[in-house]
Amino acid sequence: MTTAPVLEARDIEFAYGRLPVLFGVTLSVARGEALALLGTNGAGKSTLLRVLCGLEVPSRGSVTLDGADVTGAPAEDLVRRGLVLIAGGRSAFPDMTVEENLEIQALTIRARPSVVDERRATVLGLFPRLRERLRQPAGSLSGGERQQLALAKAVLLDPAVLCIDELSLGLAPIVVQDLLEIVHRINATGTSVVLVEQSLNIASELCGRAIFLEKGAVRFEGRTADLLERDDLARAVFLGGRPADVGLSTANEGRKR
Amino acid sequence: MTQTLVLGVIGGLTIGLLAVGIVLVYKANRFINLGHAQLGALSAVLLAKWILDWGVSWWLAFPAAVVLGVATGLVVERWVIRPLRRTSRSTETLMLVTIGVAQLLLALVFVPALRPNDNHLTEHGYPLPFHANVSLGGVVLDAQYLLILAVVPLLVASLGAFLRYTAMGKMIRAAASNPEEARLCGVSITRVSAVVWGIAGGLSAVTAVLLAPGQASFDAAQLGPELLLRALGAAAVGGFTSVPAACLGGLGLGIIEQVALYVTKDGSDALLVVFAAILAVFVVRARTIDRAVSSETGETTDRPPLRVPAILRDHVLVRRQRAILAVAAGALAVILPLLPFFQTEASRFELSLVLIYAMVGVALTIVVGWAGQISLGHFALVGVGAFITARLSPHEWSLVALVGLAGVAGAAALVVIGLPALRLRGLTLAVTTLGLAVVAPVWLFRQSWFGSDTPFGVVVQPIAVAADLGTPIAQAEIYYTALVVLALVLLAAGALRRSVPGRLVLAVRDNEAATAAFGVTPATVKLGVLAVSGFLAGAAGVLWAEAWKNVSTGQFNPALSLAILAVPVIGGLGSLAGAVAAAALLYFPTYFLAPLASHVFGDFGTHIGFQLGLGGAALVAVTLAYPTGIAGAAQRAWERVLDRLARRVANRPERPVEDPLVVEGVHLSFGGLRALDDVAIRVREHEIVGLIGANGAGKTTLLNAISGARRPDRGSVRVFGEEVVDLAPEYRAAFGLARSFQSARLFPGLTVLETLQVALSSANRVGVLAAIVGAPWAREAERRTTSDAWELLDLFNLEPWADSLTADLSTGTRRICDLAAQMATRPKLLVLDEPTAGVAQRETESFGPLLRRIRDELDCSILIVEHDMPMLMALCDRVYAMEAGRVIAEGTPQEVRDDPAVIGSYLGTDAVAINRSGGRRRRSKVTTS
Repeated sequence: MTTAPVLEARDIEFAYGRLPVLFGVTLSVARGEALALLGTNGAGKSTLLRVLCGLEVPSRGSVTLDGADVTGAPAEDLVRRGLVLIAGGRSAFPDMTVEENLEIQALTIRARPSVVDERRATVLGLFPRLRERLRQPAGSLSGGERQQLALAKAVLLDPAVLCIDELSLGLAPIVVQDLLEIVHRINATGTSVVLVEQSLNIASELCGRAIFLEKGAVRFEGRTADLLERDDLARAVFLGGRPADVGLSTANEGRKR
Repeated sequence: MTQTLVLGVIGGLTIGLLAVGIVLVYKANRFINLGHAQLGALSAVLLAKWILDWGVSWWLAFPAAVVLGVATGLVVERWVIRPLRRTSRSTETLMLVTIGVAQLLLALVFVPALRPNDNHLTEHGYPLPFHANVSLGGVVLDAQYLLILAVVPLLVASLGAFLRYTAMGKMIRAAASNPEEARLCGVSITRVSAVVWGIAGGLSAVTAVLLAPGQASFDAAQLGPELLLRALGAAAVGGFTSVPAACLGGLGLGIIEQVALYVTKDGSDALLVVFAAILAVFVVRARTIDRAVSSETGETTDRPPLRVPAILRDHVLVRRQRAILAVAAGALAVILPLLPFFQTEASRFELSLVLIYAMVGVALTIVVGWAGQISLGHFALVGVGAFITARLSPHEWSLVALVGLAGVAGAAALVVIGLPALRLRGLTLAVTTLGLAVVAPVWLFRQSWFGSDTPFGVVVQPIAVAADLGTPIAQAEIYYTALVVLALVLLAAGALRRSVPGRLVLAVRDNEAATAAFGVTPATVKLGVLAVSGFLAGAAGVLWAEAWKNVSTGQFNPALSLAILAVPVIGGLGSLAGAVAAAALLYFPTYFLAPLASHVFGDFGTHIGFQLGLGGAALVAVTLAYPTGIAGAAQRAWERVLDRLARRVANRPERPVEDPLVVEGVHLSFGGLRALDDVAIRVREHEIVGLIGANGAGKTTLLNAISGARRPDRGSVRVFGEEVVDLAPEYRAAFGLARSFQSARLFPGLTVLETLQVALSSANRVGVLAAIVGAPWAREAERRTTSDAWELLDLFNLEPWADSLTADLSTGTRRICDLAAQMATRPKLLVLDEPTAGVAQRETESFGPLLRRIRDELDCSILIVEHDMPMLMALCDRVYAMEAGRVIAEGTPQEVRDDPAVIGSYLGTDAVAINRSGGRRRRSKVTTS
């Protein structure tokens, strides 16, 4: 990891109206690495992704993509610069057909039709179910199929950084395994992955490094394997973020209460 | 019958075309563009001007007109809609602003320079590209009909193809389907929005040009509420999101209207049928519409509460600000008709109308500002009240009785019309009330059993206010009657807003589900709001009838209902005073300044053009720049005045912030005895200052001079920079000064809690009558007083004695109770005279920590006279020592104790004596703790 980071965020602060959510979060993503963003419910993981991807403008701090300052750049521009966000469960156009969905997903590369055709073929090869349903509205897809459709965007665009918000949300484990395999393959081709996850298992399977957020601040940063050994943090993730309620007492928690 | 169908299709196509434009904007922006029809109004007028006056070919002028429509759409999107969407304002706000845009665009139509020469228009009629007389199914189709039949299907089909097959069309659909994901796929929502508005502007221009030839002389109002109602009904068929369904809906409504016309042979009955059909659409398609609008988000922009500098909390200008404003406005309103300019009956009549508009504005404020709903039909309710008044006036009904009856009728009408809107916010009530506005003048007011079909309407007989109270006939008398009614309405509405039901209305607006969880039925609250608002509008109708002296259908043009929506917005959504001010600012110039601007809008548009222009511009400007309206702007200005006043109160020229207490050069003599001789002391912010001295050294006299019990012969006493030396004690409290006495004066017959409630009552004043009848604000004040009292009990650890009579308390506890009562007025400077005198030693010990808490938690500086030296030494930041009316030493407790002069005069030279009591206690403290 000696190369310059592909995505870097420094001292990000953000508030929804008067409700502060992120307090000076700093992270960097190396080229080709897979980073897990973990944390309890409401820790600010998804918000951090939204800020990184330009859906929200941070009140303080900076975001750098490929060495260029992109703080405050709108999401639609960042897609063109190779930063793609897949928002779990919400990333389809339900009123449009699967085919039209794929077309919109490939909007930013439509100037290169041959590339689009080639990658579209790859997508349909990866997800045969989507091929069967090309003419159906995306709203009629099952949850797993929808996630396949969502992942199709990553295959189509071959981004520098792929951010994924809650890949496993509401899906059967076997479905998740398949999707995970795809993400792994995408990662293997050189795309950096930032994965927001509730499930520590999934995160540790894919990501070598993890960042643990709590109450809008980074509480742990390091190898995912090390995180697994931190009982307090690991359990906080597993048990829905209320370590104190399950009879677990840590020095940090004790101070906070 | 084929004739009916053909005419229905032609009418339906134009409705459908408008509906498609509304659907497009709705898809992209998620709000209803109520001004869609007006986007193209200017295009239609200019096309006629270019062709008739300049001789341009239709085939050249038409594309130019469409381009102008596109440009209008782009301008509106860029400068009005986009800024508002960026600040995520509520759907209601966006809908309201489109009304303003519509008014502005309509006002342009009245500018003579933009209109075709009227003679040319009368002579040639509205320009058409060709002349034709084609017979189809018994109908002779002229060029206009042929154009409609050819252009509209072509436009809708190509629009459908555009959305389905082009990249931009897909981007528009993607943005409509999932805006966030569209952005994540690289779709620029801003660009999509601009494109959609451009298309909508172009469509509107085509519609306006196609519709214009139908009228003998061009009438922009033709593009007004009636057409809007039909277009909204058509768009609702597809849940506001489907282009084909909107077009089909338009066709359906057009055919229904023609069939109804064929059956009833009466245009107004046919309109009623159309309205019923539209209501049916809303009921049948409720779920689709619900789903389409459920994604609505946005923030209502409420005025923040008035910020008052702490030092001015009790200032008379702050405590009486409402009363002062009311008296000032009332005085102005009383004097106005007496001024020379308003001596004529005509101008006094117009003044009365301004008052009535203000009353309708208040009624609208309740619906729009408090409940967050939009009513487009309030003027129809005024009409209901006015016609009832006119019909009953020959039967000796009194004004009071008529106000009651008309009010109830207005309330009933709005509740019935609001029933379908209970489930859906923002949209359905707007449509149903628009229906009321359109149907009432055309149908209800023309029915022989209710109104009158004659152009002159019903003559209103003079109405007695009440039995033996006189009958206002002259316009001045009517004006003052209206003024009294308006004042009563404002009082009642103000009381309602501060009551529990008033708060419920806002709670339901902000979070319906949450209020439902508290056991409140949102439907009941909403209907209640509609009833109150309808009552006020109906009651305003009585005054309307009185002022006009005859009531006719023409007075209740539906456009008035739309125009008056500017009042609650400009006033600042929710503010009653703001609504009155806005009504005055809008309608006063309309009547009295518009003639001065006649060269802008021409003779024809003098009033209507001016009013539309002023109202529209004000509505748009206020929404963009002052979301809290006049009320918000006034509040900010008032806050600035208060800040300046606070600085003046708190300031002396030589210091930026004046100390809580500055005593300088105070002299006071009793007979020949100099009790105070050039005394100067100072208590700084957040300081506890001790005052020591032998008996008769002048300590209590100095405290009296500070508190106002005695007036010094000379010198200055300043509290927070304000000279109070000439003020009586009761006025000094206003500057944040409180004083306790050596002998704690309490009310032996009251409990501790009651004592504190008495002390607090000056802060939460309530009229006796209000308290007796249990008025909501009285109960509210009562509740607040009780909770404040418990807070004080808690702070002073008096809770165990809450229900003890003060007479039964120990001296120490009684002192603490007195202290708590003193703190009820939230003073910022507390002057204590020997608080521990006569108090048992054990109780004394609790005083030090208590005083520190007063300083720290209530942010109050303290000046204390005390003989308990150890306590004083431990407590005070600084100490003054007095002897024979003079200050002989000042400094930290240590410095003062070591000062030779102090030692000589007061403490004595015997160091053991100084430490006697205290020294022992300190030791004993150590052992006990």
